[in-house]
Order: sequence, then C-alpha cells, then structure tokens
Amino acid sequence: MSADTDVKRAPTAPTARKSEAIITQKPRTDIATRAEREKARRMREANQAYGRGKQINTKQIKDKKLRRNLKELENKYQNATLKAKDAEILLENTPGFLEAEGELERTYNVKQGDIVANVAVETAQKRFELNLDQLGPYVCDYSRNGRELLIGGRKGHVATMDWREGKLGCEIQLGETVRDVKWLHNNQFFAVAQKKYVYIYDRNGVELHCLRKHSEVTHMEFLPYHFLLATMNTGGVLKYQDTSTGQVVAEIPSRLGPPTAFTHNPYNAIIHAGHQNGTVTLWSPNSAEPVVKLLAHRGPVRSVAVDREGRYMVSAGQDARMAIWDIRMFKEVNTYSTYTPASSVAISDTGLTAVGWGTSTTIWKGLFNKNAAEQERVRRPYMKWGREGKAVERVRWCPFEDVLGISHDKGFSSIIVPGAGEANFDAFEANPFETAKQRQETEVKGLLNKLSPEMIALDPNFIGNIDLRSDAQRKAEKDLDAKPVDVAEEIRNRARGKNGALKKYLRKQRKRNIIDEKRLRVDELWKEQQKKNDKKRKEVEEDLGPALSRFAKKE
Amino acid sequence: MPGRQAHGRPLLSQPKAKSGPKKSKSRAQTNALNAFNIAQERFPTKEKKTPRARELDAEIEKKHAREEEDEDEEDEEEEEGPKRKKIKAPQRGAAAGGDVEFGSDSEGNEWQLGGMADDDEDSEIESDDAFGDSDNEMFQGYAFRGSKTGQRKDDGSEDSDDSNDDQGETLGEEAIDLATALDQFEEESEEEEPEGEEGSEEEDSEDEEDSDESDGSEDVDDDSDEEADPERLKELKGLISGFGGEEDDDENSAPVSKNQKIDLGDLGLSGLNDPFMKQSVKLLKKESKETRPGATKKLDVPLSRREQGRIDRAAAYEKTNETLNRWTETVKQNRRAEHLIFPLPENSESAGLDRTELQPLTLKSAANELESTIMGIMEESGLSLEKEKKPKKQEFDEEGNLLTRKQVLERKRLEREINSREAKRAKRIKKIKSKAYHRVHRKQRERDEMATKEAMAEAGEIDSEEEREAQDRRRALERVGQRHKDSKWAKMGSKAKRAVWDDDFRSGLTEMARKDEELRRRKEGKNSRGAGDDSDETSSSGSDDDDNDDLRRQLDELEEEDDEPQSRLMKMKFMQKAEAAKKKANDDLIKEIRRELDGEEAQVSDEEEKGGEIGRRQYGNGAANPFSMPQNNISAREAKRNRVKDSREEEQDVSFANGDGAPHITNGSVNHAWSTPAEATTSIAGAWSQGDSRRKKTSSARADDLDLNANILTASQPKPKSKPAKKSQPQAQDDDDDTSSESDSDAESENRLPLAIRDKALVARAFAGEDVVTEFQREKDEIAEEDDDKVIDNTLPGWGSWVGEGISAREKKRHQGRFLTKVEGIKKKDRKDAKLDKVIINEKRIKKNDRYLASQLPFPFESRQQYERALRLPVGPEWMTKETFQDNTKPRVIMKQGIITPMSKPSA
Repeated sequence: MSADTDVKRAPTAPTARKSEAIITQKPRTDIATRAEREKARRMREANQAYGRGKQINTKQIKDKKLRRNLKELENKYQNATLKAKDAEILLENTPGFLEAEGELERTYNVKQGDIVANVAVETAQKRFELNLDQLGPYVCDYSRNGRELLIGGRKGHVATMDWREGKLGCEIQLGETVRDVKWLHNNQFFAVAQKKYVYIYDRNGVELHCLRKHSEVTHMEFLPYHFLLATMNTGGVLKYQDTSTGQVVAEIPSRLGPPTAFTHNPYNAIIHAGHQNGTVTLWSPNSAEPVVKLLAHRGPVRSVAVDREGRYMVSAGQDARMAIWDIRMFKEVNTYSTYTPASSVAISDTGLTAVGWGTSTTIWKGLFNKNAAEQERVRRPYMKWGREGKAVERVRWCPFEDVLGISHDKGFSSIIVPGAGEANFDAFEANPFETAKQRQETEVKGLLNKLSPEMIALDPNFIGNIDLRSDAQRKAEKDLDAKPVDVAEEIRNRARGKNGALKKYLRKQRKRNIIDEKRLRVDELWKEQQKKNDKKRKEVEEDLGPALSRFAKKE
Repeated sequence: MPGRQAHGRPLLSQPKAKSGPKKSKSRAQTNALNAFNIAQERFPTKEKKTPRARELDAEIEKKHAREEEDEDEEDEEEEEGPKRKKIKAPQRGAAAGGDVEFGSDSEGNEWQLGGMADDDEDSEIESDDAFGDSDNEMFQGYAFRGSKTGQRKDDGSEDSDDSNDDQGETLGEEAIDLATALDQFEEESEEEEPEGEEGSEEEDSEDEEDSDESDGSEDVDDDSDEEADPERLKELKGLISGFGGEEDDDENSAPVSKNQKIDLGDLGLSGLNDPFMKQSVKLLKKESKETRPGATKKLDVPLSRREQGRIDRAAAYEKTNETLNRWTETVKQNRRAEHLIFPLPENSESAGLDRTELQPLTLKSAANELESTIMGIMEESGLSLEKEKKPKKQEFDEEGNLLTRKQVLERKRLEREINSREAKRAKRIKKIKSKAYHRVHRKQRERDEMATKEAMAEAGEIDSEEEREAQDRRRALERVGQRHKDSKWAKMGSKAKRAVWDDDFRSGLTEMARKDEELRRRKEGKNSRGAGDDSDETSSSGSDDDDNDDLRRQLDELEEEDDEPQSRLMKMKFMQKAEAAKKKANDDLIKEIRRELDGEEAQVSDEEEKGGEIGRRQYGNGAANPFSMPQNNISAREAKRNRVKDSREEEQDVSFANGDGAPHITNGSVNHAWSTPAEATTSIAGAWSQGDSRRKKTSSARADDLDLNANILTASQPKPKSKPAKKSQPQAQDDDDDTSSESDSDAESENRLPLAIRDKALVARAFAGEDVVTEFQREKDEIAEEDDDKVIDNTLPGWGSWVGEGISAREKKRHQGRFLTKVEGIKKKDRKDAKLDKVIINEKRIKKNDRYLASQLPFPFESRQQYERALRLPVGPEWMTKETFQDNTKPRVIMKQGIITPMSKPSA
C-alpha cells in the first residue's frame, strides 16, 4: 500500500539544527505528577484527533438524574476518544513522505524514474503510461476503493480497468463526444456524460440507462452516501438524480451559464460549482439558490477541489491564481499564483494538492493544515511531473494509494507520489481488497444506510438539533393551506394489508393514553370490530349447536 | 408500689388509696386492712368486678385479639394518656372528692376501702405520696417506661418470672422473634432490647434514675420520664382538644386512677393462709419502706400488652430498617449500573484482583504445575527470564592488593576532595574566560555600533544630543553597579576585619580600588576632552585595555596559585596523576585565554591593515568586517523596507522592489515555470544585488558573505524567507529547454519569479473589462437589501379616501403610508457574511431540512447544549472502536450460565 513507497526518509536534519539554539524550558508551575501529566497529554492528543466537540458543564445541572446521565455520557465520549486513540496501534502502515536529506536537496527534483528504481517491484508497477493519442483528451475517475480506473476520451473512447493488474474491464467506442465519466457507488456501474444525454453502463459496457433528463451535461459528481448523481449542463442547470430509485430529486437552474468546474464536498455532500465570472457556488438539493456564493477569482474558475474533511477548498482560476479557502469560515487563507492557468486540481487523502497546468503537474504539500492556527505559505512544491508535451486534462488521486492519475491529451499517466494515500484504509468505508461477496454486502448496507437528500446541508450535524424558530415565526410560516390530516385516511392506510394489521394498529392506538379525535375514532372502530366479532361468533355457535358451541373459535 | 402491680392486671377498677398525713394514716390503714380481711374471710372470695374494670378487661381482650392494629388507633391511645394527665394535674388537690365518687361506683369491699383510704399505713402512704403523679400516668399514658425498664433490668430473674404471666409479654416475645428472623446477627443484648423500650431514651432515663434513686424519691425520676416527651404532649394536646366526647370520658375515668394503694385485701387475698404468700407480702411491704438506693428492687409493672406490642413493633421496625438500610447503597448502585452481570463478579475467584497488568512469570510465582514445568525447562535451556546478578566489583590498589570496603570509601573521599579543588579552579578560569569572551564580544559590538553610528551620522539620522545622553546614562549605570567604599559589602567586611583572613574579600577590595581609579580617570578624560563622538571611542578602548590587563593579572594569579604547598594527601601517586591531568586542562585554558587576548590585539591591528579576513570566525557571526558592516546593515534595512512595501503591495501584485526585477523579467520564459508563491519573489531585493556583485570573489569570501547575509536576515525576518535570497543567482541566459531548466530549478524559481509578478499585473489588466468584484459586491448588496427588514404599505387607494380624476397629487400623497407593516428580516449587520467581502451566504431557511429538526427540547434536558451533546455520541460501529461499540450495545443484564450465588450481604 502507500507505506511501501516511502522511499527515503532522511534522519531529521532540521531538528539537529534546532538543537543549537538555546532552549529555555518552561518552568513547571503545576503540581501534577508525572503520571497525571502523561494522562492529560494523552487525553489532549486523543481529543485533538478523535474528539467530538466541547464538553458540557455537568456541574451546573440541577436535576440529579440528568446530571448523572450526562456525566456518564461525557465519560462515554472520553472513553470512546481514548479507545480510538489507543486503537491507533492497530494501524499497521505508517504514512511517510519524500524527505530531503539536506538543505540543498529538493524533493521536487526527484523524478519518477528515481522513485521507480528505488521502490519495490510491486509498487514500481503502479507507475505506468497509457498511450492513447488518437481519441484524447481524456478524463479519468477512480472507483471509491481505488481499485478500478475509468477513462473517457473526448472522441468517444471509454474504458475501465483494474489498473493494478492491468486488466481491462470493458472498452467501448461510443462514437459520440464524451464530456465526463464517473463511477457510481461501486465498480459495477458508471455514468458517462455524452453529447446529448447521460448514460449509465454496467461494468461490461452494457448500456443500462439513458438519462434523458440530463441533457448536454458537462460535469458530473456522485454522492455515495445519498446515491445521488449530480450533473450540470451547458445551460447551467444542476440536477440531482437518485441512482437507487431513479427519481430526479432536484432540478435547480444556477443562472450562471455553463459551469467551468464541478466537485463535491465529501464531508457534507454540498456541490461546489465554478463559474465563468469567477464565483464558486455551493449547492444543496434542498434550496433553489446557492447556499453560499464566493468570489474566488477574477477570471473564470478553472477547477475546484475540496479536501476530505471538508475544511479547505482549493480553486484555480483563469487569472493564474490558486486560492485556498477555509470553507467553514469562508475565508480565503492563501493565494498562490500559477504560471499558466491550472486545468485541474485535486486533493489527496493526506492533503497533497495536485495542480495540473499546461503540460505538467505540480504537487504541493502542506497548503493547508487543519491544526495550524495560521496557514503557512508554502515556498516550493513537493513534487512535479510533466514537460513531456502532454497537455493535462484532469488529475485524480487514487484512493488508498500513493498514486496520482493524470489524464491528458495523449492518454493517461499514473505516477507515484509518496505519502499521498491514506495508509490505513477503513474497510467499513471502502475496502480496496474487497471480494465480490463483500462488495455485495457493502452495496446492500449502503442502500440500507442511504441518506435522504433532505439531509444535505452545510452543517451535516444539524440532524436532531432543535428548531430555533420562535413560535410566532413558526406560526407565520405554517402552511395554512395544507390539508388537515385525515384520521380516517390514516387509519385506512395503516390498516391496509393483512387482516391483523388493523387490529394491531387499533390495539396499539388504544394503549396510548391520550384521548383525542383520533383516539375516539379508533375506539369507535374497535367497538365496531368487537361487535362484528361477537356476532360472527354467535352465528358460528348457533351453527355448531349447543353441545359443540364451546369449540367455536374465539377472537 | 410497682411490685404490687406485678400481677399485670389493670388496676383501674380499684379504688385508690388516698394520700394524706403520713403517720396517722398508716395505722388506720392496717386497721382497715384487718377489717377488710375479716370481711373477706366471712364472705367466700368471689371475684367481683366493677363495671369499669370489666369494660377495661374486655377492651384489653379485644385488643389482644387484634394485635395488628393500625397506628392511628395507637396514636389515639397515646393522645389519651397525656391528656388525662393534663386534666388531672390541677385536680390533684381535690382528689378526695373524686375518691368518694369513685367509691360509689364500685361495690362492696371496694367501697369500704375507699372510705378507709384516708387512714393508710405509714409506709404505704409515703410511697403512695411519692408516687402520686406516676400513678396517674401508669393508668393513663403508659409514660412510666423508662424507670420501669431500668428497674426491671436490675432484677432480671424476677422480671422474667413476672413477664411470663404478663399479657404483654407474649407479644414482646413475638417481636423479638421477628427481629431475630430479620437479622441473624443480632446479639444477646439486642435481643433483650425489644422487651424494654426505645434504646437511647431508655438508657438516658436509666442513668437519671440511678442518680435519682440515691435520693430515694421515685417521684423525681417519674418526673424526668414525664419530661422526656413534653413536646409530644403539647403537640398532642391540640389534637386531643378536638375530641370532645373522649375528653368527657377521660374526666370520668380520671379520678378512678388517681390514687391507688393496693393491698392483698384489695386483691381479695386478705384471707390468705398460705405462709409463703404472707412472707412474700411481708417482704414486699418491707421493700416498699426501704429508702436505700439499691433496696427498691421491686418488680416492675408490666406494660399493657398493647403498649408492649407497640413498643416491640417500633423497635422491630427500627431494627428492620437498620438491617435493610445496609442494602440501600447496594441497591442504588445496581439500579444505576449500566450493566449487571450475573453471576456477580464480586463472587468470582478473581474479584478484587487487578488484571490490567501481567506480571512476569518466575519459578517462584508459578501457580500451577504446567507453569512451573515450563519455567523449569526454560531455566535448563538457559532461557531464564531472570537476569543473573552481576558479580560485585572489587577494588584493588596500585599494588594489586584487595581493598576493604572502608578503604575504598576512604579513597573515594580523597579523590572527591581533590576533584573539588581542581573544579573550583576550573570554575574561576572559566569565569575569567567567559569574562574575556564577553568583553571581546562587547568590543566587537561597540565597534559595529560605532560604524553604524558613523553611517547614520553620514545619513544625518543621528541625534547627537540624545546619543550623548544615552552614553552618559550607560556610564552612570556602570558606576552604580560598582562596589563602593561605602557600600554595605565594604562596611561589613571592614567591620569583621575580613581583609585579614578572607582572600576573596581582599581581592575584591583591590578590584574596587582599581575600578574606582579607572572611573575617575574616565571622568577626567571626558572632562578634559569635552563631549564628542571620539571620547566615547577612546574611553571604551581604554577600558578595553584595562580589561585585558585585569584579565592578565587574574591569570597570573591563578598560575601562581598552582605552586601551593601540597598536603600529604597530594603526595599520593594517583592523586598527583589526577591533579596533573586537571592542571593541564586548566593551564591549557589559561593559555588559550592569553592567546585570545594577544590574538585579539594582533587581529585588531591586522584588521586595521587590510580589512581582515582571518581570525574573525572565532567569535562567531558578530566578528564580521567592521567596515563592511554598516553597508550591510543598510542594505539589510533596505531589503526589509522593500519587503514591507512588497507585502503591502501584494494585493496589487505589482511590486518590483528596486529595479532588480527588470532584467529578470526579460529573462522570463513563458511556458515552463511551475507555480510558485508569488510573494516569495519580492522578498529578496536587497540581498540579491549584493549576491550578484560578490559572485566572482574567492570561495572563502563568498562563504563569509553568505554568512553575513544570513546574519542580517535572521535579524530582520524569519529564516524561510531568506532562503531564496541565498540562492539568488542570475541564470545564465534563459533556456527554453525544459529538462535543463528542471535540473537547475532553484535558479529557475528565482528566474521566473518576476514573471509571476508580471502575470498578476497582466491578469489585473486582462480582467479589467468585466469587473467581477464590483459586480459581486452589487449582488451581495442586493441580497442583503432583500433580506433586510421591510416596510410594506398596505394602503388601498380608495379605502378611506377619494380616488379618481380631480384628486390632487398632494391629496394622494397624504393618504399614502397610512397602513404600514414592518416585516422582520435579517439586518445587514447580523448577516453571517457581514464581514466577509467575497462571500454571500444565503440566509434563507432551508425548509426541507426542518423535517430533521426537533420541534422542542426533549424532557429531561435543561438546555439545548445538553441535548445536542447527548445526540452527538455516535452509534454505529463505523465511528468507534469495536470495544466501545460493544460496550454501548451491551444488554443491561447479562446472565451467564451456571449457579448464580446471591449477592453477599453488605458489611456494616
């Protein structure tokens, strides 16, 4: 996996330098014992990595039982974080980057050839080139577990492959412009935005669906937890289609012309679209207007990428700038200039940012750091690749691998970037080594756990929070024209199905201790039913005669 | 008195004896008794009962039948008691009348007795008199308890005998049984307790009683009993007053129980022939006469069965409570526990053992055969986990003789002594050295300062007046830090005549004198020469010389010190060896310092000659060329200024710091630069040009230069920014060839930097046409306006006003804005994007999300924070470790197969 490409890790030269400086140790002011301090440190570290927000002050709570319960809860939180921290010991692979040995060495001088010569054979095989100079430029996409690769040539060439084994999945010539390709939730289906419509194919290249509602689509994104395929067409209309049920969930005109960039935030499933006027708009299927609109560039936006945790967005524009945005605060933290406008930006699991521009690709490390109070300006890139006369069309990081896929007008290149992938995958999430059975299980589980599109919001943790509207506001916003809930209708609906359904429903309703209209209605129904039963029984008894009537079925 | 009541029957029916004058009454009483006895003999003994007595008996019977009586009734009963007493208290004087009345109620002999009551026997009257109050109590309120039990305890055997035929006793025993059943741990004494009364109260009263009995007056102790619950009585009084009817009854019965003096005759036993009986009666009488403290060992009046039962129940209840209360904590614990596991872990074998850590297994700690066998095998095969003990180190002296421990210690001590001596010396040397070091440094600093001052003077930046003042100040400070003749230190020293015996002090004195002299000289020098820039220099240099002299002097001293006479100890060989080594080191140091001092001078002269290159490195970065220094400083400052400017202009992206950029721009090639931070370009202007000019110098000079640059830059800004500066080299004419440029990418980066700048400028120009920024701002304003509070005019034209032709515009205007409604929106300052100029955040509520909001705060929570915090704990296995997940999903009660032993009894 990713750890094996960790080629050189020099002994830490910079720290040795630091040791020359006078280190003033802070005098100890606290009287905690060493063990206590150690414990506190451990807790702090765990909280930083796995914490779930601030604690609440349980001491102020007056109600004894609530206080105890909440204290217990806080303990649970704490235990959970500590256990999670302790479980880090199970992460067998340690991530690592290329590191320079001295001041004068630069990591960006390391060429792919050097890396390939120094890594294991298996890893070296991950560096490959696909020369497809006829049907380019190509776009590419990796499946969620990084197992399979999908490439689509502008001139109708679409192919999938298990890139590690070099096995071709399917290869089709569509004879039509291909604008974008996208894997759906697993490697079984993929969507292709063609000249007119979006089509869905299975892994064998068999056309399954033609989404006629998505016309002239230029960009596509797939939201894996919601099973939504989001597309934007040349008219600037954003459409969400549920791929599990086939319904169009939302259709929102952006009114900003054809999009120039399109991506989604993996943290909250908000779509980020870049536009001609330099704005980036954030969309959810629940509102007809963009949730947020930000002016990222002076010229058209060329490409947008959001980091895995949904904290930072990197956008590149025609104005030869690359902007880093904190998309929780909505503040621009840094801007960098690119020499030529970047064509594609992608952020890896570990926060490496690949910028494809012209014929080359630059990889930046540490453009943003979630733990730093102030984002540092990076002086020089981490790695680079290119100058081979291949105009980069799109860069994509392979999940769980130290591999960057670059699709260009001459085909596809896979390069090795040490430290790019998440070293330790979570099989609950995506398993690069999954078997067919596991894949099926995951699919079913995914469908069962599917989130509804209404759950998409800027803050995905809003679910269950308290509605803070005032009563007056609520009244004002109440839909007066809404049809009143028809009790009879509801009962009828609930009682549909088996014979016992109504009985069960009535029984349950009668258990409720609230006497309202519904309850009265239910009681009425109940009595009716009882009467009917009695009558029936009597009839049966009569039929059976006095001697046998005792065997009549009781209900 | 109580003794006579030991038969346990209520004596209410009996007419009580009248208390009166003591002596005369006693005789009368005997007569009366005799008369009664005679009468008894004449008429066969036939139990007769007064109606009242019968009634009471019946009542008791009844009550005995239903022992489990409600507390209500008991309370009532209790209420009755005190009330009666209350009523009776004032009536005590008029008891005689009541007596007669009562007598009329009864029949036959009772009547007689009632009449004779006045002439009671002496002794009996006495006891009666003493017992007057308590009598009442006994019959009414059962308020005797304390004293009775106390007495009963005194004569245990009698008590048990009596209690056997006591009605109440059976109940009492029952109570005991209950208590024992509930608590098997109860001790003997505890078992007896229910017989008596409420524990602590009883004991208290018992104590009191003892003291009282010494006086011989039972009355007092009864009173004390009464006092035990006056509050309760008062409380009850109010309650009782409510029951009018009962009160009447009480008053009727009150006189009956007023006085009771009972004889054998009363009991219908006057004609008793049994000698035993008579004897016991005699005994009783005697006893009642006794006034000695221990003598009144009479049988207690047993409590009525009902009362006894109540007491027993109360005690039993208390006991039960106590035993049950022991469990409350356990129950609480279990109720609150998140999980209960049966069989309980407390009963398991390993309960209370810490299993979080594993101890290494040794042969000794092996618990079972398998372990010991395995350990044995491991031992045999040399895999023992125990470390072998190290052989003890043995010391030998020079001749190879084994030294005893004592000797070794001795030697160690000696060694330490010597070491400390040398260490002391080393310390002094070090001090000198550091002094010298600092001095040299200071000199260097001063020189630099001077140079910069010069430069500043040239630039006309220096404020000579201020500077001079600062100099003066410094000098003054120097003087302040000096040891003075009249300082505390000097005074103390002279007082103790320290100069005679303390070398340190002596040297300090000489030092003081020298410094003093020096300062005076300096002052004079200044005065003679007057204020000027030169004076500073000379004086400082003079002080430098002085310093050097001083150092030399000190070094000499140290060297002299070496020839000290040696002690016997020092003559030992090993000592000398060690000493020699130390000495050598110290001497080396001294030499080094000397050399430094000498070298410094030489160097200064050297520098004067040819702007020196050598020898400077010894003192680090500060030893830079004094002549180049000011220049460098200036350039550094310039660079800094440029940098500041750059950062300011960064927004416009068009900063070409100082013309240096221009040539690079021409160098720039278009297609091959990788993106670089734009800002980096501008940070290096000043240092750059210098780098250019010195390129062709010798390598040593270049290194020096780099060093210098570093020095400057570290002073002015953080290191990272300086890095590009170091590498600034004009690229040997641009190369369109990509690969070659890649090979020298460091240079490339520099080379391309200006391009970025130009790019930005270009960009600004290129996108000038469509002003996206103002466009965006306009849009934002519009949205903000739209969301803001709005005032709506609801006026209907024609509603309350005329419309149509011929209405003047003024009239129309007048009717406008008559009905205004304000719609609350989001104020501009409250917008989330109020402070973000490049962002528009949609403030409209997303209604579809409302479905997932809670409409109100769920019950147990007090605040939103609590509730939302409680929600955030994840549930699924994806978000936590397996352990946490399993903990969270564990059922509350887990039962394992096997025998589930009961929970062990909580101790204490």
